[in-house]
Amino acid sequence: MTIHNRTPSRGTSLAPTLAWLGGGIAVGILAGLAFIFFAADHVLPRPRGGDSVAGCSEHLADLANEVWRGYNQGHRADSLDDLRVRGTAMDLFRCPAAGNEHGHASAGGLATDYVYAPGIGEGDAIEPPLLFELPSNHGQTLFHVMPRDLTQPTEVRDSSQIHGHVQHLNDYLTAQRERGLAEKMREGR
Amino acid sequence: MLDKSQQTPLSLGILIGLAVTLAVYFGVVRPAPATQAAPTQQDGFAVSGTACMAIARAIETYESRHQRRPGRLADLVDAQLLRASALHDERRLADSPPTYKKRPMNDVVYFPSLRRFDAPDLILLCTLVLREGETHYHAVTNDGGYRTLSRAELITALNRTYTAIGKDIPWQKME
Repeated sequence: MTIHNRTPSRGTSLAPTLAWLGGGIAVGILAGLAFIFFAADHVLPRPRGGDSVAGCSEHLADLANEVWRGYNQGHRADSLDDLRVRGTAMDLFRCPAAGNEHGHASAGGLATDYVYAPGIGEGDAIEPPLLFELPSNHGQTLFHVMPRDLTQPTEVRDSSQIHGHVQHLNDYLTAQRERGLAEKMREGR
Repeated sequence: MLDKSQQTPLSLGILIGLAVTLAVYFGVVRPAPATQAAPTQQDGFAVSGTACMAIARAIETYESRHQRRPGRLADLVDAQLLRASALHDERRLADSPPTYKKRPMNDVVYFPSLRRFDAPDLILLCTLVLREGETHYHAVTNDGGYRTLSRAELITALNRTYTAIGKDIPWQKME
């Protein structure tokens, strides 16, 4: 009777097999990491999440600084289009992190993701926003407003506060405009 | 060259390593972006188009009675031209009546500084948040017309409105 005993030979071949498998896993992990670090940012679509919108916050601050620079030079921008005419880079008017979500500007308007409220000057309250962006899309009601003292854009997530910020601005501008119109009437203009 | 007994575990290992790394990245580090607007609790509160039109009618009635527009939307409620609930998203009232009193802010914004002589297409009243299932914002223009606006259209209209208001405001240099 012949007895087949292959155990010794299997034991000797398992170790190199496992070694090749382990080496392969290491190479695969390295290849995956290489893809993530070098290709993902260029090949894959940008996520639409908190990080994306946070990019708009920094961008809003850059645009606000342009407005502020004009104020310090004695020029109030009456509109964002004024800033464009004065040479502000066009890419400052669009939030790069917003992607296509914000769409294109309607006919006749500057392509921008921001709303600018001129008319706030020295001595005015800090709270009314000088610049703001609309909240992002459904399920993401993050809203950035830039106070007139240009500290940091404020993040607002509650939709009643979003409406509240803008209503506060509108009420504030109403009083300012009433004053301006009254002055014009007095001067006979 | 590797023989078959070496190639097979090496290939298998590379595939396992790649799969694990990418699964961890896409599953944990970088969640897949939402492909459509999913209704969530963060969905914004805003008044409906019907409510916008009701508010616009109340403003017109107030203006015809007082020869001026209301200074704030609450004046319409005080004048009994509008119910207070019309200024709020009906879902807010339905979902959280106990907290309603803690959130008196309206779910719509109003531009009280606009006058009749201003351009007719400026924004008199609008929502700033999209309601669940809607793609356009609600707005009432200075001539009393109701419109729905895309995001880009609303931004343009708001900028035009603020520009019109701002040109009458004497400017003071900021320090």
